[in-house]
Amino acid sequence: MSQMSGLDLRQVGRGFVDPVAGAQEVFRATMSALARPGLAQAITPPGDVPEGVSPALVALLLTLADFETPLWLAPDLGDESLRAYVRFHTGVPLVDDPALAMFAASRAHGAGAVLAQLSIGEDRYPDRSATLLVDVPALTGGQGVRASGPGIRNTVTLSPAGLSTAFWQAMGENHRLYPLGVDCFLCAGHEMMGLPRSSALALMVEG
Amino acid sequence: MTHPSSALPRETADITARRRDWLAVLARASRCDLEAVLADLPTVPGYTLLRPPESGAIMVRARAGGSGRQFNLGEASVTRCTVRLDEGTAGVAYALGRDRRHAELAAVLDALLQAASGGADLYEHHIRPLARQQQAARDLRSRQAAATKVDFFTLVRGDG
Amino acid sequence: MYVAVKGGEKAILASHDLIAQTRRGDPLLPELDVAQIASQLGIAVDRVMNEGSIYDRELAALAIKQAQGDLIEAAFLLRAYRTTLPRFGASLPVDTARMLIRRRVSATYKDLPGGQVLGPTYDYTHRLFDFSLMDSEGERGSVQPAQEALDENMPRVPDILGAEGLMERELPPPGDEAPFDITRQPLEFPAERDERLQVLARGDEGYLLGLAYSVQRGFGHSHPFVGEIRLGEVSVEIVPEELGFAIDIGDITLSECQMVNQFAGSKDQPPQFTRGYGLAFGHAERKVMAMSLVDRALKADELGEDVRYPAQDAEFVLYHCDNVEASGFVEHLKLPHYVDFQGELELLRRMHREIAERVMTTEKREAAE
Repeated sequence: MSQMSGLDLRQVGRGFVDPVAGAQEVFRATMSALARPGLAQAITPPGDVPEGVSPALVALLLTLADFETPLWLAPDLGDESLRAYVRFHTGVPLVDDPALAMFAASRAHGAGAVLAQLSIGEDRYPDRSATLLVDVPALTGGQGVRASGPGIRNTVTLSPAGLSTAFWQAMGENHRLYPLGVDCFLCAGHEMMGLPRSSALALMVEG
Repeated sequence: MTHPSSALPRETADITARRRDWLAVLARASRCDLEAVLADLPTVPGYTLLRPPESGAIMVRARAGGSGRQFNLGEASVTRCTVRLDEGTAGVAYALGRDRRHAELAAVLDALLQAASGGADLYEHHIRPLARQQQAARDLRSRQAAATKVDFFTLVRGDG
Repeated sequence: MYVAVKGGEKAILASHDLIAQTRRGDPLLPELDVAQIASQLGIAVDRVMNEGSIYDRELAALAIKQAQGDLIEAAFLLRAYRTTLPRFGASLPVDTARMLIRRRVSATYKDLPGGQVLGPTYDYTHRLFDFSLMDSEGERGSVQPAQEALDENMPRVPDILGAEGLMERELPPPGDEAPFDITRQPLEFPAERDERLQVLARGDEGYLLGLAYSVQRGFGHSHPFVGEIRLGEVSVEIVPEELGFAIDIGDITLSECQMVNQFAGSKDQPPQFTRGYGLAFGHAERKVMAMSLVDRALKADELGEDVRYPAQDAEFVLYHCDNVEASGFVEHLKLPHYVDFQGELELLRRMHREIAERVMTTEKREAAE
């Protein structure tokens, strides 16, 4: 922590307009998202949002990250302003190695590769696994995926855009590790959905 | 993005040292004192709350035996605030306790004290007197303790 | 059989009113002010801050007022409140060598650099009532300050002995990593020193005092000396992420005790003095003395001593230290256990019935024979 240089606060944008209420609302939405996998949840956006990243993902970072939760940010996600923004508002330490992160944020492209490197928790403490936040172009319009498992009556079909077959394969591997494994949030615009490790996912064959 | 502090130009290191000094004075000053400083300024520039005053806690750490392994002693309540003056300079405040108004005033003063013009005057006329008061209070406390310092003297056992 | 019982709500609400009225006491007397408690019942406030595990004099004073002076209940209120606070980070380790000293005594050295400073203490009072305190106004003591402030250089006593190689060294381990945090992780055994000290620091003063006493009376071979006790103010420093350099955010009052103990030595170590450490918020001298004795007792395993006594057993000591947890578990017994108890009652009745039947059958058989 003391090795860090300071931040240029001339440019840093505002966090939640009401920090406590904002974080509580978004936290409530994350609970709903994990309880009802695949169902889109609206989030309260912060006052300002750095360039190149969705308001939903920024809101999740403001809500979940703090000085005790090392964060890995994909190099192609946002720019320096995003890094300064999250460090200022959450005090989160940024790490270069995804394996050390408790939270990781990535664009759709590359999400599968990072998923495989994240902490899956320990047998005694499965809760110590990492959580992955993925910025996707949209929560609909992509390849169909059928999800089943806790919180889903029968099955639900989702179709977030921009995610590769490799990502869905990595998510399948992740599910097989249950009760270990990573929980995932997909974010686009002012919405996000949860894909917990407990959900079984099957790519739907096109046509 | 990160630079070791040794690589900082000398000027920056100097500003940092001065800023550390006034932040310590502002953290210890009473809210009334800070209100009085601001009330005394000809104008208070406009600012926005980059981080509105917020109370929370920090974990106070210590070392076993005073010099050994670190351990967590317990938490302390802290209030912080960050403001940005309309011209762009940001001011930061962290102080023990739960006084949000105090934190906001201290953050505004931190921003004003950084100004190339006027910062030095503000320090001389308003912050240095507070620093002196705080030093005098410490000194008095130490002198009161010193009144209870034991002056050992040895009873000479003579054999006449 | 499960029976849901409702109907206590009105009674509970009335009990809230009644405790509030009871707490207020005689309405003809002026009400206690939180600032008065913070200022005039300072040692009670310090105890509540320690056991509530958060440094905030005003809140601790409020807790004492609200709990009607029940200090464990007050610590509970503070603990409950602290869970609502966001944590901004951790301080740099406080440096007690740079304390603004108000009291500093050593039982091992008469002439130590900086001298013996008695400070505010009841140690040399006669424990006779001062009936003048019965009057709400009167002349109260005020000390005539000395000409000179205390020496800036007040080395900690074990550091002086350490220089001679006669004292167990206390050095940061390689890497000087962030300590274990019992507010974030469940206790782990064997417990390392950082975990032990954190538990002891928030532990119940009475419990620690009892354990420390046991160590002295023979339940833990120990011949302790107070190397040093100091009381005063230290500054707290943090490195905010946005600044990247350490800033001083104000002073807290701390009490520290360095307890010196004999150690016979082992095949790896020559005989030397070992130490126990006590540190607490505010003026808490009994607490830090007891803590330092228990800290030393808990080193038994590391030093290759026999672990034979309660105070040396880390699981026993650490699991039962916390008075908020302890009173929660003990006091939950007064909550309704109607169903559990009904089950046991039924069982006992059945057993009695069976015994009676057996006796009757035997008697009948005997009568018949």
